[in-house]
Amino acid sequence: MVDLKQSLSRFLAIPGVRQAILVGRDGLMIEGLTRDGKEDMEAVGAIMTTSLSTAEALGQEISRGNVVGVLMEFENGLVSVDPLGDFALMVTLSDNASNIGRVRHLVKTIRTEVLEALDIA
Amino acid sequence: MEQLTNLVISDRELAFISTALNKLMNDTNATSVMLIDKSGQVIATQGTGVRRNATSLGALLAGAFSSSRHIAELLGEKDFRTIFQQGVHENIFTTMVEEQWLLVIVFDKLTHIGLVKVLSKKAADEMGHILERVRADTTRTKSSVINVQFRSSVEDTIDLLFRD
Amino acid sequence: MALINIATHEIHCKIVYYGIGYCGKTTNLQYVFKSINPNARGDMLSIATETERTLFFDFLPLDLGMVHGFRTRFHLYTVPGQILYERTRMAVLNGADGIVFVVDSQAEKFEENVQSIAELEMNMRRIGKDLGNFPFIMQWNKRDLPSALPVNVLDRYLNRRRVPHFEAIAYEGKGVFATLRSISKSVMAQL
Repeated sequence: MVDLKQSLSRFLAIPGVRQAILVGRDGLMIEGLTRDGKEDMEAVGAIMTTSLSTAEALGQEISRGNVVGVLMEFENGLVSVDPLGDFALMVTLSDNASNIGRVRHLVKTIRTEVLEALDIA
Repeated sequence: MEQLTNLVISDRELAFISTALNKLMNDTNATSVMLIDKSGQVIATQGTGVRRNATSLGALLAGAFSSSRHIAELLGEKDFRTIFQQGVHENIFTTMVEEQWLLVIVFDKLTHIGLVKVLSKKAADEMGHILERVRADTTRTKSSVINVQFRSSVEDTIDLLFRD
Repeated sequence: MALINIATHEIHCKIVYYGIGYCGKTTNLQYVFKSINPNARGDMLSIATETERTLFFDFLPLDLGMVHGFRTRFHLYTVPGQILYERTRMAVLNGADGIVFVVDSQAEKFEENVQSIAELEMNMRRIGKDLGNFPFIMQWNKRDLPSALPVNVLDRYLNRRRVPHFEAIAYEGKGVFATLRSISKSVMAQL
């Protein structure tokens, strides 16, 4: 089996990261890993795809270029949505913002590995 | 494009097809995969789940697919090129290959539809290339199988089997 | 479209039984299923309504066995006959290698038969096929009924293309195999 779980587990290795979800642009989940398994990953993935689309529309409106990341802060956590090329998004749920830099860096690092695993590189 | 009246699939091409199906099945961790002609005839299968009922599944899936394309037409949609059937334990994802074949993936809860969609696109493209070669080969190789003796023998068999 | 699989040594052909509702298409297949050597056939599939009217199609796979090292299979299909299923008929016609048009010989069904043939002609054109150059035969079914029109009348008005035609009483099996023999040979000749 194409081993995306390996790649996703590296996100969970970052302190504070609870969930890592790889979603296609169409909102359908490709793979997901969670530390506690309470939230519905498929739903989270689908909803976040919408939020990225909204961000993209906004970006066009205000002429600020392409969306490079979306960050949503909640009372009890943080969601980061990072585009992975044209075809997918990485969605991570963290406890707080302290390691967001590492998350973003990891997205860049694993991009090629994920694309190759999906035979799209 | 001129409509062929038949397609001849050689050993070589069937081997390519089987390899591609096998890869798809492994990459997606699917239960089984099938390649069907749009007329319902099964070209190849991999995986144990479907083998027993392959003939019926081929006819039904092709029928369902054909139906959905007509639905598309009625809705003013250009085409529905994929169907996703979601079950409690198993799901089926069907996608069209160049107006002629259907690639069918049967998978369970352990595999996500997003992954199946992404990987099957690649597999479908590859099947498309194989199909082009099959079309090109067909005119050349047909006469080696369908010749006068064959036709005559088949007619005898028809008379024998379909007797009153 | 006939499929010749050199690797697996198989030849597959699709034959469709077409016609108006209740004309005997399903009956033809049921009779074949009942009477043919069980080794030569698979399970018959019928997607029907609760009242047993064909909803989508009937399907019967037949296996002629090995001929010159090739296993020849005929897949028989019927279409649903009622008027509302026009699109469904088109779906089933997809990829057909041969067509049997089953005619309910009764006088009161004549008009419907005319319409049904016209529809078939149109559907064939839509899928880019020329019915004049295609394995196509006609079956005059229900010959036993009192209001059955004479064969020469049916032939004159319904068989415009002058294709082979056979009389039948499908539920008794009369003419069923003669029809099947003819269409099978016609399909093989076109390969």
